[in-house]
Amino acid sequence: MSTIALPAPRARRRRPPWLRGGALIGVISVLVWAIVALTLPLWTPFDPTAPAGPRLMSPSWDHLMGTDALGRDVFTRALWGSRTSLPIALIVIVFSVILGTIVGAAAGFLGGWIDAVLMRFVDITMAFPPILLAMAITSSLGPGVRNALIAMVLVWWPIYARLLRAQVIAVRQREYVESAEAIGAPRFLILRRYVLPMAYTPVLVNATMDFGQVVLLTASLSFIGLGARPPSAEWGAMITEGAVSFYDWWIAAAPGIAIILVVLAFNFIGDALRDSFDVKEIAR
Amino acid sequence: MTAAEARVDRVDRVDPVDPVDREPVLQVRDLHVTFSTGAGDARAVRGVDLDVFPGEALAVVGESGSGKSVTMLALLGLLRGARVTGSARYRGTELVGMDVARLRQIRGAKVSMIFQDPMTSLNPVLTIGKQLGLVMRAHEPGMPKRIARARAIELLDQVAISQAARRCDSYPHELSGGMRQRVMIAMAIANNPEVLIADEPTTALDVTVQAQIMELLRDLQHEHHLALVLITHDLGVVAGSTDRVAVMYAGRVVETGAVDPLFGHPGHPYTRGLLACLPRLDERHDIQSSIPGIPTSPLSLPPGCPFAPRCSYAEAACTDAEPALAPHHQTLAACFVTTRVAADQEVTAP
Amino acid sequence: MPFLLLGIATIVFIVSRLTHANPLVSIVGERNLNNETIVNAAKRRWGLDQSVPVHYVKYMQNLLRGDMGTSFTTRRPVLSDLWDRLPATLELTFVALFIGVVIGVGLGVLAARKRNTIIDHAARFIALMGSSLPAFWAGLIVLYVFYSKLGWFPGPGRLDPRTTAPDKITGFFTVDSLLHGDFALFRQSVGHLIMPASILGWGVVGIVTRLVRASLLDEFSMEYVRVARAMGLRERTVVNTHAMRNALLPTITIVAFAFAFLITGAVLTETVFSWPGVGSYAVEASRKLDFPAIIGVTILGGVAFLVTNLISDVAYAIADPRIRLS
Repeated sequence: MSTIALPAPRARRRRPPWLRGGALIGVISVLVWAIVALTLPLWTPFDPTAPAGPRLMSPSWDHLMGTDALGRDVFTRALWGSRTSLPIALIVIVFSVILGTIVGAAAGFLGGWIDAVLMRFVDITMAFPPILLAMAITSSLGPGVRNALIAMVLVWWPIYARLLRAQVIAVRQREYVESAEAIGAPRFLILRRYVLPMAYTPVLVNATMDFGQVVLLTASLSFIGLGARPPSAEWGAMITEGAVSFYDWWIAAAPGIAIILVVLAFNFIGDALRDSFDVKEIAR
Repeated sequence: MTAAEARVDRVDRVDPVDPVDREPVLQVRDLHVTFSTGAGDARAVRGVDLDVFPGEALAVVGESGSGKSVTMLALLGLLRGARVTGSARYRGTELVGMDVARLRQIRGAKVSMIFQDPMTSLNPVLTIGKQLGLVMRAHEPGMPKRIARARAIELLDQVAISQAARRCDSYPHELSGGMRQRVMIAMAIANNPEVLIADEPTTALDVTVQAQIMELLRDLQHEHHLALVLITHDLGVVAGSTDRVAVMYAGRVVETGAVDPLFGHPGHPYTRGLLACLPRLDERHDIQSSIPGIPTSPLSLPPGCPFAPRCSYAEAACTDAEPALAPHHQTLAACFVTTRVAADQEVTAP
Repeated sequence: MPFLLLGIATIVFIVSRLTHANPLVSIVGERNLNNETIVNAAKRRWGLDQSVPVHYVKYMQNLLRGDMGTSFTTRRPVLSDLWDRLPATLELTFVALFIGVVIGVGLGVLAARKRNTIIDHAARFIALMGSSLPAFWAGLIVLYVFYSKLGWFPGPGRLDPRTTAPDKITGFFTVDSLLHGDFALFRQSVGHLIMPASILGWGVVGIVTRLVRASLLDEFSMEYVRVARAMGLRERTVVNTHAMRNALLPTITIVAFAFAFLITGAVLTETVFSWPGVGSYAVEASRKLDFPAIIGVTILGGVAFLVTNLISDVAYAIADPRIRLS
């Protein structure tokens, strides 16, 4: 019997996945950012829209990340960026999940030609590199935050549709669902009570991992000029301003560092979640 | 009729070993293997003594969790994260604690091991010939390709694989389970080892194929004067193919002896239970007997003899201390009760 | 596959149609709305004076003929624009892919072999940074530090300012300059490639490292790895010959995914490094609302993704003998 179930060689009391190592750092970072974003108006060092000092001053003790071309404090603006970028990402993910769930669950549950048609649609949408499709949609609708939001949701929902569909199909074949169907429970009830709750774990894992990528996409679109635009304190837009005054490096550095911190945090969490659940990314 | 008499006489049994060659090729003394788990220490092997003599076939028998595989894996250093103490000598050289580089030279070349599942034991993306070549070159680094291939074909012939040349270039998924196991055996004997450890080599195979593989192993044993250690839970295989048997339970050897006496007059209650479980064609049984209770867990061993909870002979003394191997007619058994009875019988025997 | 191509074109059509009250705008641009000749020509060419289905049919017909409309900004057919700019992007993406895969595989192997040590964590952190870095921002910083401040690397663009490009054979400056025997030019084009390709490649490292590490760790728990060790194979042989061969199979598919990611990254990196490729073309088009160009690039992106997927499927089938021989 060479394939013995040998006990795991290293003894470590296992903490829940979201609290281990890197994930812990990630979770704390996210919480810090959330608190900052929510409470910032109460304690903001400077006004993000009004000049606070001489223009284009390099970082100093007064202004931790210097001032920009209009004299606004860069550090403050970088913090304020969280109040734009984070909610945008949240909205995009929430709506993508909702839309993806509806489509995916319908496809998985109803099967047949509905499934085939919907999945074709998903496949086609996923055949585009996300940024190109987002750019196309946003420029067609007209640049601006609202349209960028719409574009991103349209780009992102197929991932969740595929994921949901796979989960729905898998769960539906389980016996407790079959027995529910056998006693004549209405299909929608089965969907809501049995299938969806089980299907949600991988969705949550993916949504967490995606959060960072959506923040990146938002910033990218803004950088190109299709999303939030100056004077908005969105990180991507700030980097655009920073690119103009290239030699005043702090103007671009601050928002970039902010993005990295946020995305890294979510990536840490996502990595740890993925390690512990060993979720083979079904939708990708 | 006893089991010993009912089985088909083995004409092809290996002759008793030449007394001159009585030096064991593998000698295990007081081997302990412990794993640290989240739930505490798991003592998988607790003081095992074994001897393997050149050219003989030793069966190590026991149920899942008895420690039989772990013992062999430990002496080859193939266990990760386990604490191994005690002694395991190959021809006098201590294997426990040996560094990997030197162990590597012993693995496959002096002491070889084959495993249970031929489906997963071969790499699916490499050809048979390539995998054989890798094993050969691991111990003879400069071997030219042509010679490696010729030897590979030769080996495949030896393990009775037809069309050896063609099979050399096949991939594992193109072969049947039985053939894959033969390939594993070929890999194991490629470097002419002295000892071949076979860990449940036939468990994953059909019954007919099982017989063929066991016959192959016996033939190879003869031809190469191999010592064979057969790890199995299948007593039927043991009867026809081995010279001596060691029965393990809960990480210790509880009985050991030559095959005939052990099957004829088993000393340990566990051995008796195992033999009683063997279905017999020549006797009528109304109920299939089994050993009551469940095997012990290496994480929580009962005090005293680990078999006591399931033993119908158990007395008070059995939970006080763990019995050591003691003579029982012609075998050695670790049981207070049966060895005492046997000793009494010896005294009172005419 | 053909269905997907059809689908791509259709989706783009829908996007362009649904978002304009006046489809004319998307074809001739705001400025030309008053120009009768242009407007009428457009109406005929694109079937705009007829119903939507006819428009669609005309659109598809034009596509099949390779007619994706004319760019507002360059006044040339979009297809020629794309064709001209494609080599620049391909050169950048290939080099980035190469860098990313080589480093990614190396880090992944390292991380797997030294599992749970500091090396493992360091490698994974590097990979994670690659997935967290905004490519355009990293480009700016790198340009600032290594070009402006330190002068180690040349600046934006494929070549130094006022340098003529080699005569076009493939369009890849590196290859072409070698073919012309101009080593100075070769070194210059390589120098310009390093920074943008490295930034892009870092993103690839992010994906590849994690996958290689996970695949290798899976392999290490495989029975045949244990058998190989039992037969006395050296650890190095076990890793390189047994484990890697299997671990690299999923890597083939991920390379296709990485390619799609690279197209995305290229859009931003090209902008920052003034790289005259398809990506910066897309950005300029978006900024100027040059719809034919936008549409053209989007279709190209979709097609490229499909093609790479196809290639990777074929490559996987060839590499895995279990599939190849069935």
